[in-house]
Amino acid sequence: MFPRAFAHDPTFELFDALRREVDRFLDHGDASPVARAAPLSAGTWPALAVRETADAIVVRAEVPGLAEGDVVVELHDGVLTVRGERATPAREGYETLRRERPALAFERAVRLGPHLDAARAEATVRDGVLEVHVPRAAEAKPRRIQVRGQA
Amino acid sequence: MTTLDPSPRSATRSSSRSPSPAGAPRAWRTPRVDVLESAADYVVIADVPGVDDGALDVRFEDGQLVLEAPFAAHGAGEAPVAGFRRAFSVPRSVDTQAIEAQLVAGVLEVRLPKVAAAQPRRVPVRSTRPG
Repeated sequence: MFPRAFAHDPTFELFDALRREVDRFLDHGDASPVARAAPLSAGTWPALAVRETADAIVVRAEVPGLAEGDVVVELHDGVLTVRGERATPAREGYETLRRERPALAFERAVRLGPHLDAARAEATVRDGVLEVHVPRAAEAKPRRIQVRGQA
Repeated sequence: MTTLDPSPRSATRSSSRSPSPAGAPRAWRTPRVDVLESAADYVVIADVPGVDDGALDVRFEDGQLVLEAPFAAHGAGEAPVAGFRRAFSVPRSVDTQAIEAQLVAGVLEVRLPKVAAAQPRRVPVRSTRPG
């Protein structure tokens, strides 16, 4: 079941490239980041979830087995990239009866949109979950403007 | 049948359900696993990101090894999923009293030692001294 799901499919790659082009054309920057969070890369590992709060965009990635030094997080032009390698080395004296956890090199990119404060972005990894917290830039936060009557 | 096969009730991926204490069904995700065997033991390695060892439940029940790994409070998010759950049939050769588990960085490793009788035993060969 798993090998089929992870099989390399050139058709997907083609559609992905096409979508990337369309994304570039439609890059208005005012759409909701979550609606636009479709992954740009073809990989499916790690699983990603993106949510918005009033002050930030928070991206969670499931990276079981990875620690601090095993994953690189980059934010460039509103696109967040997560990459690294996961090794699942063979053990001496053991025979494999079932293998569903592949060793892999991974890279995934998610467009988060503009008006982010990349300098204050933070990433932590805990219990095999990477969480990247990207604060919105001050000008992107909704601001209430006082309405005054003319006396 | 290979040893330590996932049992049928956990065969469906991401859709196995079990009753929560409140009685309402909670969905569990099926973790990906590697299963290894040596002369001395079996090892089950499961990816359970977002789980800490606080609520981890590894038990032997009705001839099955049951792994139940609820998400840690800090990692639960908004998903209506309780955590990870998967069960395996356990071969008779396993010493069920000696099963041990450890969890590191969202990876659960369960070691199931084989009973002594099931392990290959080296017979010492002694040479008899002449005379």
